Amino acid sequence: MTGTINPSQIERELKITLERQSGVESSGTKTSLFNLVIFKRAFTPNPSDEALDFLLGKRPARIIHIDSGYKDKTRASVFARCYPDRKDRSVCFEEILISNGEDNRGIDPGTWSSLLIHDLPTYLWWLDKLVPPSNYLIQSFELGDKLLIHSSFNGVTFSEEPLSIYTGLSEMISTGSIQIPVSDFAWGKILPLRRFIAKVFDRDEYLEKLWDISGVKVQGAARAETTLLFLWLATRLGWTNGRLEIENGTGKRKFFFRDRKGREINLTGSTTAEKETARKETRKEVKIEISFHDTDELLLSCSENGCAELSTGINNGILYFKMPHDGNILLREVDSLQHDSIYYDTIEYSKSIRRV
Amino acid sequence: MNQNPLAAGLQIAREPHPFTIVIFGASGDLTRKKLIPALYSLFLNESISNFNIVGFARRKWDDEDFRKIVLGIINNSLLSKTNENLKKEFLRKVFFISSNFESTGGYAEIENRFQKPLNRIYYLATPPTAYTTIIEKLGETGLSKERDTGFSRIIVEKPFGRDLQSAHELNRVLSRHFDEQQIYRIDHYLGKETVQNIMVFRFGNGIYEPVWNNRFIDNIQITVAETEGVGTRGNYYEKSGAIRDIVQNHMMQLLCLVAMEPPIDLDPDSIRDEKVKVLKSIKPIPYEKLEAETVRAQYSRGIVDGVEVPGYKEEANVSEDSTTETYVAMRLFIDSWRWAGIPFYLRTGKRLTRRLTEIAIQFKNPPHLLFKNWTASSPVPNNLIMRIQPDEAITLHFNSKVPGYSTEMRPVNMTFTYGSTFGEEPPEAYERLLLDVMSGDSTLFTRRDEIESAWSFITEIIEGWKRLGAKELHHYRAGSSGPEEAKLLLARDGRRWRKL
Repeated sequence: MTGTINPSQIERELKITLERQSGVESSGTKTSLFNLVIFKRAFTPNPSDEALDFLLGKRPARIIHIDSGYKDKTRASVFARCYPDRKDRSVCFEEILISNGEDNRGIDPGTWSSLLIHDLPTYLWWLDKLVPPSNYLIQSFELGDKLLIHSSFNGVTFSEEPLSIYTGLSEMISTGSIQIPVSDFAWGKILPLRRFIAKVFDRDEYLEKLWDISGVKVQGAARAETTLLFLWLATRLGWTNGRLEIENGTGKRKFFFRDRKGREINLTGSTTAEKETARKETRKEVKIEISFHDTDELLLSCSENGCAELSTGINNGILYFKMPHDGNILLREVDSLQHDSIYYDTIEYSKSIRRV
Repeated sequence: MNQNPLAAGLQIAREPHPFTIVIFGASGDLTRKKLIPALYSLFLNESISNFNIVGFARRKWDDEDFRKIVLGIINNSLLSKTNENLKKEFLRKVFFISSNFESTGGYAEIENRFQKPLNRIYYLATPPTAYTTIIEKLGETGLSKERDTGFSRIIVEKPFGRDLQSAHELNRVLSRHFDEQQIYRIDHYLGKETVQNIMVFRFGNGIYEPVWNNRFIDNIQITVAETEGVGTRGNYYEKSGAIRDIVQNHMMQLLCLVAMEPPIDLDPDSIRDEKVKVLKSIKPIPYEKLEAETVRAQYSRGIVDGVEVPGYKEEANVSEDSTTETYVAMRLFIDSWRWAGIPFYLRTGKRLTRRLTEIAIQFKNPPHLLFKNWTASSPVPNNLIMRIQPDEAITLHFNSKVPGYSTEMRPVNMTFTYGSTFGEEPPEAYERLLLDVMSGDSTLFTRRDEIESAWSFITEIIEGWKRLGAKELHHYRAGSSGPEEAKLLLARDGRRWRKL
């Protein structure tokens, strides 16, 4: 443990630790591909550990953990983890753990910026409250190349209303406060759901039904994921007059929209298993029930085994589009410096939703 | 409203539909070494889940016998340590049809036993002599036909013909029963990550294309060097030689990728259109110029990796008076605005000193040699090396000042290596290519006109060599860098091959 944060000393310690970890048997150590700075609360379960376990051995990186919530002064320690590839070359994480004390020196970019490997892409993974955005988060944008957030984690851990997160985020993007790409793990989680729904409606006999949807019920997904899914459907299908009703007492959330013909569309998401689903890497099953004005409903299910259409039996037993865990999503995110414009459209749409 | 608005920004097409793959020649080397490991790996990484693998061969095996063979293949592969339950699940999807290729019964069995899923892929992993029979039978029995609810695709392994005429004939037979979009002519080189990276490197970066032409490039060398001999492939190699085995397919593909114009988009046909333009622009090498522009040679006894190895004629199943070439070098030109006057030097050989596949782009020296007094010799030209194997890498050689008070300049390297950068190993070429067939993406497969254009250029050389007879066959010692005559091919242009 390094008392004060001395970059030269940390680099020296890292070098020694890395050599020890990669081992004498190794045929070399791979050069880091990127920096990943993880901002999180100490003593609070968060998804980064499991995601990093998955990434280990796949991408070499420098990882700076900034854990807030310590009573003492800010301190730092270093460690390394390595995993040999097929040719016995070590794929390592060089990790620096900054325990951010009450002085808040650890989270200040002036402290950790000198620990970044220069000229490599820097990903900022913000696992703390998002609304309103912390000054430290805003200051860190200058040093980052991409911001990663996890709105379903925020929804559960900090009880943040997803719609507020998206509205705030979208505002920051549109006003230029955030000029780096933003990605959301919750958006990554619903990718198989979106792909599967899109695929189901890709068949000629279903394509026309898209304009006849009267309601959607989602069971088993986190609140943020359900919200994103509904907003996505609304933006893609041109639904208007969106409003969100939250029942007093139960907290049950209902979205209402109008379709192009002015008919009401009713969307609800079950939040019963929310705490479990947001924290667990893979949830058991997400069920989506899509009802239409004139015809039978469509029942879809996605789990760690894949997605299947349950109601018609057409694709029964055919499983594809498996639900990703945070490790899958992290791997995808660190391989790209782009944002998803459909996500931006989706969260932009949140600004037009009335809350009742 | 015909467009699905939900599909925007989503890549749906890459998910393979459920399918049955029928491997003709399932008892052969290709199935054992490449196809089964590739399919099992795709299954393990969850790229495929709903499929049948049907082995089709003369052996008197049943499903259980073939499953034991497949299990043996898996257990002898790098994937042997995977979960036993996964192996069992995979084996449940494996079947076998014991039949001659000529017998209609075997084909009827495909139809009867594997009605679901209706999507079918036929893999010709047999000797090429069996291709026509199988294709005709697939046609006669109606298995080649695409149906409303299912596709029918055929994968044809190399060698695709022996010359222009036989390639043309094979294409004619294929096109009688399959449409072009159903045919996947495989060249596994195109499945290699580094080969695919050539296009990304050229067209995904802004700094290379402006200098990728005859104003800045002096010459391009393409090398496919092997340390192995013909091994157990003597029978095949005697009829093939290096020009058919490597130059006509792999080297022509590398040449196309390095010389093609940017395609208008990533549509398979847009890319293949550009490749065909390159092949059609290669200046033919007429008989009169063959001895000056090409070198063919055969290895003799020597030492490779410290072990004494026999000469080619001493190898199993090779004739004692064989004149088959195991080495080819040639200089060719591409008649186009971009490449006018730039020589492309190609060489390939077996039993060379080192295994190496690379494309070396040598740039011209600066127009004014400002630092000519700094060094005793001329500055070393800039070279951009794309190494395909082993240790896939891209290296730029440039000159730098030697630190200190002296005025010295020396070449240094800037290298990007896949192996020391990304953690994961790239997928095996066959995995990628099989997945592409399952998904209906033909980008990395060779189109009919591509094959025939390549053969058109190569056949003229082969015919010319025939007329020249054995007198133009040179020899080189196993473990060397190739014959002296190949060095002269460049020496007369004032150039040298890159060191192997």
